Amino acid sequence: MRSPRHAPPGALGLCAVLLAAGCATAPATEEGQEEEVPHGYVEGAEETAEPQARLVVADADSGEVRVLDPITGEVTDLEPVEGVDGIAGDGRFAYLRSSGHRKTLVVDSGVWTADHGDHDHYYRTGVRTVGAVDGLAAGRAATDRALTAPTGPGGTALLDRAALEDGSVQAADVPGGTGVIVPFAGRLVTAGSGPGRAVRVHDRDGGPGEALDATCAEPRGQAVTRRGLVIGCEDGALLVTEDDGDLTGEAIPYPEGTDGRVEEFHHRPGSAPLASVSTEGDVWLLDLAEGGWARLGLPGAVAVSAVGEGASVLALDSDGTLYALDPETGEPNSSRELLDGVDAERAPVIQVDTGRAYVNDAGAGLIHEIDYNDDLRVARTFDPGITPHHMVETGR
Amino acid sequence: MATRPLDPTRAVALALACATALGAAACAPGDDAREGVVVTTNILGDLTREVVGDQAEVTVLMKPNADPHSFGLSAPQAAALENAELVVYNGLGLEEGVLRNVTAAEEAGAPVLEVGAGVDPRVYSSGHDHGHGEGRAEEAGHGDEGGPAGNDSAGEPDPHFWTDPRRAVLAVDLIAEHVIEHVEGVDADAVRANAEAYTAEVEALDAWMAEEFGTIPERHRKLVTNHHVFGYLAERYGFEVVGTVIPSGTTLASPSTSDLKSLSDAVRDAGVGAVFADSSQPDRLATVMAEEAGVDIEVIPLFSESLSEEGGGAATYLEMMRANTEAVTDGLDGDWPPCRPGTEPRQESREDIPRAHHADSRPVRRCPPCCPPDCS
Repeated sequence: MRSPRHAPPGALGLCAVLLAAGCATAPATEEGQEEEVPHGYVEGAEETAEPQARLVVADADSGEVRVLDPITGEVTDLEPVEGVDGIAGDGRFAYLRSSGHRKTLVVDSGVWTADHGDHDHYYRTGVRTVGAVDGLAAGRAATDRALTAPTGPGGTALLDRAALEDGSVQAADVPGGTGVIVPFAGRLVTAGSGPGRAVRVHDRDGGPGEALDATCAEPRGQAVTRRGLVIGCEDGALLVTEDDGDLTGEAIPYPEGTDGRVEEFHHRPGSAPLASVSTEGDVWLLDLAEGGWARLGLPGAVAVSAVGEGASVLALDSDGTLYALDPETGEPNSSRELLDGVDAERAPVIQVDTGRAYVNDAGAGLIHEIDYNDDLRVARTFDPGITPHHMVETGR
Repeated sequence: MATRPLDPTRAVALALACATALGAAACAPGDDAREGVVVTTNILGDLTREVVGDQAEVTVLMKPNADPHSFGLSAPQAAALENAELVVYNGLGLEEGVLRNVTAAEEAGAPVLEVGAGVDPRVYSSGHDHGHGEGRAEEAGHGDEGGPAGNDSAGEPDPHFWTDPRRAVLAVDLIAEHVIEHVEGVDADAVRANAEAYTAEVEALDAWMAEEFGTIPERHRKLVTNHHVFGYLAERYGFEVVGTVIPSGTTLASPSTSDLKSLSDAVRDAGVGAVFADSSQPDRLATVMAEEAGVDIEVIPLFSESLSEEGGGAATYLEMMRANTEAVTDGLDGDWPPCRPGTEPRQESREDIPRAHHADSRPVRRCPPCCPPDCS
């Protein structure tokens, strides 16, 4: 009925397209109208009773990429990524960046969790390479149901989430830009996009938006938690929260007596506490429930992640010893000599889900599965078949 | 990234010009173009087909064995929804993937019936009867996320009303009324007769379920589960829902005591040996629980939010409810805990349970981990 085919040519033809888009009720993926595959219900994806997990790993020397499924033990080979020097994740997709080539390869790990507020649903399907984002070496990625925002030193790209899920990299109908852009609460929050320290909230139509009261200079690092969006700024963290559709910003200054800052946040996805290795090399914890920073010590830490509220902060030092730090005192509740050593240039990561943590051990060519509720017991060890310099966990 | 979006102000101006040129008719099909009854979930689809019979065409959008929360629509399905004479949906937040299609249909003038809102929905009381029961690993895993995460749904209506057949009877009435009112050309008497006949079947189901569940000793009427849909059933037939996390996937591969704690605590506290849960490895789960936690369990799956294919055990609402009733009754009214063939009853007593945990406050008898038939 509303087929553009029957509309007059020229400007009115364009009108018909616009009208169809304006009053169509189909999801954005189905603008093509030939789309027969329902969106959301994923043909070929299996809903599972239990959380799924996969580990995307890359060898920085050879560029080889593998996806390890710790439930089945299967390892999937993907096309190499020349010059790969980091991996970010958004819960389902992995973003393998090559800074030298200013490029990011997007991989669908095929496992994800759909958060339905009072409960979760878990899905699994095959692994596949989706496509590349040119001109951007993404170090992290944020997403909601409509937009996915990989961010790198050059700025942020905005990708159409539904297209990613359908297997292609497509720019969203909102342009990306310089600085940090994060999809949050149905809006886009930008920091460092223009001169000055303003943090702006834009509607999805990409209009000029409104400035928040709070500001943020030198934004680096971001995390979306159930307690709000956090951005790392020059003199503190900025917490953006939503109440009844209104967004407000609150500055949370860094601990007193330090000139350091944080440039990244690590946590179990879905949980609120955020852990960082500060620019001074010690472990900091931002507890949003308490509303402040805690310095947990451990100078020389190379990797860190927070398990959850009231639970341990996991940290790895440069000797390769893994610690479970008390979130209040910073005292180690337990520790384990895990790695023989750490290459500071290619530091390992700690990835945490609801049951286990994973640490990549490039020196030994292994991935260690850690039971953090059982004195950092090494539950299992995996051999991905390549040197796992870089790693991200998906499915969470 | 080369992104060249259409300038939004230009787009709006153009759209306005277009609206003038083409008129609003493009967006709003007239009533005469409407046809059929479109239902979102397959459970409601079954009820609606029973009520409508051969009086009109009923289209069900959700496939068998699908997830009502996340199924979505193709463009032709969305169009059918918008052009329906009547849209029947569960509501109360269940069909997240199609809610905006339903809203759009309503805005386009389609009559819509939110069944859940009309059947006297129960309200999630707190994080306990449902939050715990969600299987949300972080809650029971280490008791954190006490903030917004834990109790998001306290005070919200529970959409899973169909687990109480008496609510299903209310739903049948509602559907019949709306079909008669909105669907052109139906024979009202025939629809009423269909509704009455089906109501009688659902009422018989309800009576049979009450009878079956009545054979379970009262103290065993506990559903240890990671399902989040049995609140209505529990309320109707006097069960207690004991929420738990089911060890799974990566944790089941190499479990520690803490991985099994939520489930073993729930089983011990409830004093039952049947766990109603979806698990991809039920046998391994039972073995691990016995070997690592010293708890004998039987892992029994239930149908929860979707009908199955024909022959899958729950192709209709009545079949689904009967299957679940039998599974629960078989799981709970036998010996506790189920004796594995070849196992001798062990000598040591079962962990002492404080009396306060028992609603009926009768003296607690200590049963060995594997009960002889006379121990109850």
